[in-house]
Amino acid sequence: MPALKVERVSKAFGGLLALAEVDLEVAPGERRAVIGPNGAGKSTLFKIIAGELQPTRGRVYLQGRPVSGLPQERVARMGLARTFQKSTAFGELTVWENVALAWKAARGQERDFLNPLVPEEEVRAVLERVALLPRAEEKAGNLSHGEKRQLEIAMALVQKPQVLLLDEPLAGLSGAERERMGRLIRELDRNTTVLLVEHDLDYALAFADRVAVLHYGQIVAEGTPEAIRENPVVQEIYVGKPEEAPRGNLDSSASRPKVLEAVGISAGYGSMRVLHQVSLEVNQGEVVALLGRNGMGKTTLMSTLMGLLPLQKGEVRLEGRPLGPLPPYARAELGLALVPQGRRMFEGLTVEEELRMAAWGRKGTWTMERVLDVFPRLGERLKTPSRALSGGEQQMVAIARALLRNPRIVLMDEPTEGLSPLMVRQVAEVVRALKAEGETVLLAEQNVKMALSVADRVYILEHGEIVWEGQPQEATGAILHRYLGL
Amino acid sequence: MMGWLPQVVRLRKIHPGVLVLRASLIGFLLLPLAFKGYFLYLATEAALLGLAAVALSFLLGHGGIPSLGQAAFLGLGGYAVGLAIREGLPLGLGLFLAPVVAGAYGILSGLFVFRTQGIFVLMLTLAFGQMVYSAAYKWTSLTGGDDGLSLSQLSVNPVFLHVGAVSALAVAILILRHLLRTPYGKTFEAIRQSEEKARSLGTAAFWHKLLAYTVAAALTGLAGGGLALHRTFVSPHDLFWLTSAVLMVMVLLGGSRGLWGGAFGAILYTFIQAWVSSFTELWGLFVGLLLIFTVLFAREGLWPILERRLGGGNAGP
Amino acid sequence: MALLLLTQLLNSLAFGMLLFLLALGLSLIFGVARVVNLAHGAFYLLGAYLGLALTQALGSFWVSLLLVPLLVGLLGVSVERLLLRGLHGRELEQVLLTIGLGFVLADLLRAWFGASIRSVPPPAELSGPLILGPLIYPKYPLFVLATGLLLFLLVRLILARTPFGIQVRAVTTDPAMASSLGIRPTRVSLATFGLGSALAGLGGVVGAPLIALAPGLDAQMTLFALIVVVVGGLGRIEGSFFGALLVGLVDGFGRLFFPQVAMFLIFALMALVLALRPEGLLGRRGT
Repeated sequence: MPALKVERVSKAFGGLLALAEVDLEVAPGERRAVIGPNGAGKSTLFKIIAGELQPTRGRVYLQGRPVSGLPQERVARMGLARTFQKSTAFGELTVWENVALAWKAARGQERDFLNPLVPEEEVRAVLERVALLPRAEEKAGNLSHGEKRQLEIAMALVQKPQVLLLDEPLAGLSGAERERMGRLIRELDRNTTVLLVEHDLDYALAFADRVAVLHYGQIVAEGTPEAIRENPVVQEIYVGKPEEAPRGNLDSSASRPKVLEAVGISAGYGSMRVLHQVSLEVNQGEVVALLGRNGMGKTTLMSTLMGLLPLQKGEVRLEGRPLGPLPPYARAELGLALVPQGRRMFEGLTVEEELRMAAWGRKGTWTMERVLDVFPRLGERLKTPSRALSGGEQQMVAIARALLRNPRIVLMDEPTEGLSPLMVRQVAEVVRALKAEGETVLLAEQNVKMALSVADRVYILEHGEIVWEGQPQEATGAILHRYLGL
Repeated sequence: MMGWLPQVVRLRKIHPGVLVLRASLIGFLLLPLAFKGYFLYLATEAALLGLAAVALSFLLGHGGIPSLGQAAFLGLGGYAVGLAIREGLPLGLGLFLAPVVAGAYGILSGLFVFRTQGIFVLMLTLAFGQMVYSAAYKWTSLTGGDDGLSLSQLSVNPVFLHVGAVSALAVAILILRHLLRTPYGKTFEAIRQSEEKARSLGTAAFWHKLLAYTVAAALTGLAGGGLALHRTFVSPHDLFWLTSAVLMVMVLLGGSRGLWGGAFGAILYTFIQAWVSSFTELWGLFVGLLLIFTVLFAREGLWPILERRLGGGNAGP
Repeated sequence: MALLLLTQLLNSLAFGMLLFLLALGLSLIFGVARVVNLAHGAFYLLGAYLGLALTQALGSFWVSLLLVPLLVGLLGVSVERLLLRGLHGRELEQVLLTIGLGFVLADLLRAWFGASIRSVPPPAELSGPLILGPLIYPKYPLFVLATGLLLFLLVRLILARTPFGIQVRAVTTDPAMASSLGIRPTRVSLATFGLGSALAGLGGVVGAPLIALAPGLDAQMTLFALIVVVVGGLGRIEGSFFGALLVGLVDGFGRLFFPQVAMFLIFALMALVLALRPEGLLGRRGT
C-alpha cells in the first residue's frame, strides 16, 4: 500500500486550472522529488496533500486512508509533517519551546493545562541532531535564516511523521549552511517517506529515488533521476533547445549610455538573504536578459529594483542617480516601469481603466492610440474587466501599462510564465518590436529559448549571485546546461 | 553548552525589583482597608475591573484576540448575581452562576467568532456584545430595562468584598500565569504568532481559542458579579460597547503582554477617572486623549516600562 | 393600514439613506486606508452640531450644507495625516486610536453644545407636509431620500469615471502594484479619508432634523454604520447602498412590529453575516 496516493487531483482557482488530473503514488520509505518550473503547481500540490487547500476534484490518501476534505490539523495528526518555504517558527518562543510544542502537538498533548512545558529528552535529541542545541534557549526570532531552516526541520522531525513534505528546504541557504541542511535531509530516517520540492535540481536528483516533473499543473514525466535527466521533454521545459534558438542582435552596446545600474545589491526577505552582491547594468536601447531557474532570485531582484523590496546592501542607480530608499511610485515617476510577475491585473478595473490609469500624467511617444496599434486585441476588449482576460491578453495589458508610462526602462518579470507556446512567441515579438522602437528592457525569464532570441546581453543568476555574463551567442549549450539545465 | 533538564526548569529568576513592583501593586490595593470610605470604594472597583482587564489581556496580548465585546460578559455576570438575589437565591449561588452564565455565552458566541480572523473578530465580538446589551435594554420584565436592577436591599461588608475582590484578582493572575507556562498556554501564544504553522503541527486552533475565550469570559463574568454587589446596581448601560472599549483602554494603558499590566491599567484608569470626574464632566475627553497618547507613544503599555526601569531587563508574565 | 405601512416605509428608507451616507464613508476609508474608523459616528455628530450652529449663525441651511462637509472632511484629512499615518499597517492600534478620537470628539461636543437633547427644525423650504392623495407625508424625509440617491449616483460616477475613482479602486485591491504605476497610495488614502469624513459630516447636517441630537448618538451611529458595512459588503458602493436600505427597513419595521427584539435582530443579522460571509452580502472576497 502506498504511503501517499494522489488520485486524479485537479484544482481550479476561479478560471485558472492550477492542477490537472495529477496522479502520484509514493511507496513507503521512498524519496520522491517533485520538480518543475515556476507556476507549475508544486506548492498547490503540497497544500492539497497537507489539507491546507481542498482539491476541486480527486482524492488524497495517506497510508490508505482518505484525507482530502479533512482540515490540516487532522491530516497532521494522521502522520504527515511539512516544512514551509518561508520559515514559520514561533518567533517569540525559544527554540526548544518550538520543538517541544511540535512534539506535544504530535502526541495530542498540546491542551495539557496542568503541567508546565518542559524540554524532554526527545526534544533535546532532535535539537542535537540538527545542531541547534547550543541555541536552545534563544528566541526563535533571533535565529539566522539558516538556523531557522534547521528549526523547521527539527519541528518536523520531532513529530516522527510517516510522510514528510519538504518545501524548498534549501531556499536562501548557501555554502556551509546548504551543505549541512543537505546532509541532514539525506540522513533522514529511511522509514520516513519524503516528498521533496527543490529548485536545486542537482540536489533533488541526487537525493531522490524517483522524480516527478510537474508542468502547467500536469505530471509530464516520472521516473528515476537518470531517466529524467535524459528525458528530452524535461530538458526542453528547462532549457529549451539551445542549438535551435536564434540569436539576438549582435549590435555592440559598449558606447551606449547606462540607464540602470545595480551595484553590489544584497536583498532578501526578513532574515533570509536571497541576493548576494549582485551587480548588473542595462544600457540604452538594449534588451538585457536575466536568466536563472526559479528560486534563484530573479523576481527578488526585479522587486528590489522597483523599490518594492528594501535593499540590505548596495545601490541602484538610474542614469547615474542613486535611488536610495525611494518608494515605487517615486521610481515610477523617474522612469522605471514594471511588468510584474503574474501580471497583477486590478480587480474590478476594465482594460481601458487600467490603461488610462497608467497613462495619466505621462507624456511621450507612447499614447493610447499607439499602444492599441501594437496590441489590437486590447482595442477589442477595452470594456472587459481586466481579470476576465486570458493569460496572454493580460500580459499584453501589463506590458501596455508599462509602455504608457513612457519609461526610461521597462522591467519585465517572467512575462511568459503560464503562457501557451503561441503566446510566448507573441511576447517575444512584442519585445523585439520594443527594441526596434529603441526601448530599454531588462527581462527576467525562465524561458531560455525565448530570452536568447531577443536579448543583446545575458546575465545568469544562480543562488542569488551573477554567475555568468555575456552575449547570447556565447551562451553555449554547455554553459546553459551547467547553470540552467539538468 | 547549556545545562540540561533541571536547570532549565529552575525557578524563574525574577528580578527583585520587579517582585517589589508587583508586591506594591497588591499592596496598593490593600492599602485602602486602612482608610475605608471612598478610597476603599474606588479600590474595590479597580480590583474588580482589574480582573476583567487581566482576562482581556490574556486574550489580546497573549492570544491575539481583539475582543470588543467583553462588556457583555461583565453584564451577564452582573445580571446573574442581581437576578439571583432578587429571586431570593443565596449569594454564593449567585456568584457561582455569574461565571457560568458568562462562560456559556462565551462558548456560544465563540463558535461564531473564531470562524473569522483579525479585524472581523473585533467586529463580531462587538456585535455579540451589543446583542446582550439590546436584550438587557428591552427585556424590561426581566432586567428592569433602562431603570436597571437595584440591589440596595443587600448590604455586603465592604471590607469583605474588597478582600474578596483582591484575592480573586491575585488568584486569577496566578492561574493565568500558570496556564501560560503549560503546553496549552504556549500553544495559545504560538497560535497568535503563526496560526498556520500551529495547525500544520496538528493543533485544532479553533477549539484552542474557544477554550481560552470561554475561560476569559467566565473570569469577566465573575468580575461583573462582584461589581453588581459592589455598586448594588446593574444597568444595561454598563453593557454598551463603550465599556468594552474602556476595558481595552485599561489593557492598552497597562500593557497587554504580561497580565500584571492589565491590573495596573485598571487601577490607573479607575483612579484617574475618579479624579478627573471630580472637577469636570469631560472624563471621556481625558480617556480619549490618554488612549491616543498610549497608542502613539507607549504602545507596549506603561507597566512594561516600569518593569524595565526597576527590573533591568525582560520580566515576562 | 396601508398608509401606515407606506409612511413607515418612507421613514425607513429615509433613515436608510442617512445610514448609507455614513456607511459609504466608512467603507471607503476601510477599503483604501484599511482603517475601521470607530470615530465615524462622532464625525456625524460633529457635522450635525456644526450644521446647527452654522445655520443659526449664517441664517442659511443650504450654506451650512455646503460648508460643513468641507470642514469635517478637513478634519478627517488632518487626522489621517497627523495621527494615523504613523501607525501604518497596525490595524488594531489604528482602530483603538479612532476609538480614542471618538471619545474626545464626543466629549468636546458635549461641552460645547450641552448634554440636553436638541431637536433641529428643518429649513423653511423643506418643512411641512406633502400631500399626495390620501398620503400626507412630511417633506423633509423625502429630501433626505433624494439626497441619498443623488449622492449614490454621484459617488458611483466618481468611482467609475474619474481618474481619482480609478485610483481608489486600484489602491484598494493592490496598493503595491498601484504604486509601481506611479500612484501615491498615501495621497489616495488621504483624499479618501477626507471624502469619507465629509460624507459623515454631510450625513450629520442632513440627518439632524430627522434624528434629535444628544450625547451618545455618536456611538449609536458608529454602530449602525458598522452594521451596514458588514452586512452590505466591503469594497462596493452598491453594498453600502443596499445594505443601508436593508438595515433601515429592518430597523423601521422591526420597531413597528417587534419592538422588543428589533435591536437584537439587527445585531444578530450582523453577527450571522460576519460569521458566514465576512465579505458581506454584496461584497467581494479578498477585499
